Amino acid sequence: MLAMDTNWQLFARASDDRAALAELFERHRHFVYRLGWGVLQSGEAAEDIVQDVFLKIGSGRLKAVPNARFTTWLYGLAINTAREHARKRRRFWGAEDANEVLEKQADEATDPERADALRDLAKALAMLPIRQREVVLLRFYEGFDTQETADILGCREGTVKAHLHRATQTLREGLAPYKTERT
Amino acid sequence: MTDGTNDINELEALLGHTKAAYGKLEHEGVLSAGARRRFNSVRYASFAIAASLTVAVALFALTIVNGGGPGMIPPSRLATSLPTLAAPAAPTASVGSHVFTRARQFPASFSMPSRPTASNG
Repeated sequence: MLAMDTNWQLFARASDDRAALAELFERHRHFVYRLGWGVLQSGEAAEDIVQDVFLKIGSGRLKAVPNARFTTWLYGLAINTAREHARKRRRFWGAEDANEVLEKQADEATDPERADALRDLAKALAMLPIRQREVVLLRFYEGFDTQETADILGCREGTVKAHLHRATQTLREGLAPYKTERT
Repeated sequence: MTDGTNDINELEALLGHTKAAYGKLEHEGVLSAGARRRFNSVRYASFAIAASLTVAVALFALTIVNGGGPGMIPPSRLATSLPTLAAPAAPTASVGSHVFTRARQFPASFSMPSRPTASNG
């Protein structure tokens, strides 16, 4: 019964057992996709990150210590994979790249509010340097606490707090004109 | 240093309305054909390496059992165990009715031309 297996049990078998890998994929692909999209602001890049992450898991070459939470470990892997992609592309994706996701995922005719929200999200994330963006995604959108965010990013709690503070300042200043525009 | 709570509250005020949209971002596809091929090739490569190692270990063990260390097969056994090698056919090429073999590409009288010497005209 795959559904009863813990994530770590599935991970241990993933390199030999396709069904275990498929179960892990089904459980976590949206999670990894969201993070990839948030960091790189591109649906296509996020798809690549999902594939790379699960190919790495399926290759059986990853070392993991199962005393951490699986999601913490998996997010760390996803973040590192996203950073590899960002390095390869030598640039961060701008808000215009988010349009492909808007077209695919938000049906403006039936859900204009969601389309607006996605646009605002893309606009806000595009204002931030990649480290601050990662912290905002993990801490604010995914709801990890400061220590977990630090574990995922491989840094200290103080660094997470500092990035979060700077990101908030940047967003406060950057989004102010839009807020005034709307009111 | 802030504990982060104020920042989170401010982010909530600035971007709270985008949270639901973010939560609904979903990976739509399954692994692409390219990714599946790469995954299969990873598995195939591991299998090939494992198979090669097994064969190498088996040969090594066979050599030891047969009374010699690695690289110490007695000449008498070697002579009987090696397959007879046929001489490879000489590669040929033809131009019209003339057939060249690689060993006879040049006539026996062929020699390298001597190097030109400088002259003052």
